[in-house]
Amino acid sequence: MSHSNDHHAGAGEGHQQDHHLHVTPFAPMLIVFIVLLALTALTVYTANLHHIDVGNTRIEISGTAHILIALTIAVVKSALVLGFFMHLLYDKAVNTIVLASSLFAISLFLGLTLMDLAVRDSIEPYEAGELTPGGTKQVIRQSILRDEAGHGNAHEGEDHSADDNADDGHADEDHATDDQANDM
Amino acid sequence: MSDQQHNQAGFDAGPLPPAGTRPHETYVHGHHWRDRWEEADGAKLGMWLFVCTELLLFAGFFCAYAAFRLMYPDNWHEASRYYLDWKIGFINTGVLLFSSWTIVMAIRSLQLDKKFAAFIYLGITNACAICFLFLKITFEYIPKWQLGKLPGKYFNYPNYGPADPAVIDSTTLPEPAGPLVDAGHAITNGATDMVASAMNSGVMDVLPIAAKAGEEAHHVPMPHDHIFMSVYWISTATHGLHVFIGVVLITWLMFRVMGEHYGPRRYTMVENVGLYWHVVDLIWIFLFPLLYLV
Repeated sequence: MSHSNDHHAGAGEGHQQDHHLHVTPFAPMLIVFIVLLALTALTVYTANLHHIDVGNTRIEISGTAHILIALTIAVVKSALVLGFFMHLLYDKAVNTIVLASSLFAISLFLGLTLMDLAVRDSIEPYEAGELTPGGTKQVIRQSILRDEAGHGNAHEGEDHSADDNADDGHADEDHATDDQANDM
Repeated sequence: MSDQQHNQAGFDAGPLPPAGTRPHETYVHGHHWRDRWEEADGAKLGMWLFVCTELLLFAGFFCAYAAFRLMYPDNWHEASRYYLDWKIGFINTGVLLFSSWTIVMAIRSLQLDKKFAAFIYLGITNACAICFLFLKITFEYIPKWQLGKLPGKYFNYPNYGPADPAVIDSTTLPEPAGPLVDAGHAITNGATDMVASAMNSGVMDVLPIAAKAGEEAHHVPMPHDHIFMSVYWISTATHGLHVFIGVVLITWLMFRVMGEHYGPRRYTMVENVGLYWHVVDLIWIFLFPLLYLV
């Protein structure tokens, strides 16, 4: 029964390939694996590299450059995994199209969010807030603890209790602009 | 269409051996498919749709990462360098890449009708997955838990306690009057411009450093460390959960392979679990440099 079912498609499209053995090639997969390992080592190497000397010129690698290098290597690695390990290069194009649609959705999601964060300041300027570990609530609590223990650092307590009602989220937003201005 | 696809160079290894009586040979494809290969393609397309939902799930974490990184670039860099050890991440990357390769080889073995080889390859994949989780839990999760480097409001700042005062834990709350470390000393130990600027604005000059944890003395806790650790925990823990699910699936596959349910004519399930496993690898390929390196 089952055997005859196997040949049921004899007249159909699938007849020819139904009789063929489909084998994942060995050498390309091994090479891809080795290349992936090499790229991992490369990404660690470049992350710990802070400058390159070309002749007498020293080229500093900035934080942004580090991110770009690491992401480029990660994209190459993932392309290898997708193409070879996940058989996109050998499969029907429909799988690639499905993946591409998802990547498009992700790019919209990330792109629009980051665009918003990057240019928000150009519409409504921010005033930088205070930087405190764990937010302003922590500083207040710390000052109370110190006062109770009698080691009170008086001026610290006064400084921060003024912000009693500032909620953390708002304070965080305030810092954003400051940080960007200083560090980006 | 499927003719062309399956007859590509490197994939066609000649005619199939005649079918016997083993489960994978007597398997009957769904009656609504023209043949078993079309059924396999359909199942694979479904798996790809699932893969896309997985990518979108992790895209949320990457978005949180990117947004907070844009807001606090220096804090992010310092927290990454201080709280995470790239060596563990590096070893785990290698382990996952290797397991990805072995699951590809398991599929190849099934296509060549080598049951035991497929079983061994799947076993290696499983061992790698367990190794990944072991390294992660032993060298990252447990020490971080003990140091109180937990997500969000549970993050324990030295001398400040958890990020949310509502979280009261008397065992982790340090003495209020910890010795103050000279701020200039802290700067020479690799603190960043951000701390410097915060000090200039008169905010962080009273920042106490924990004396009881020696290593803490070399790191000035930064205001948004707890957000970095939140992103770290949620993304790696979700990834770890996926690894665990992968272990369950691969173990099940190992039993099925020994039961001769998969062979040259039928290996769709192994291929689909393979796709899942590669996605786990894929996510880690991005998580590793983003969390540990840059």
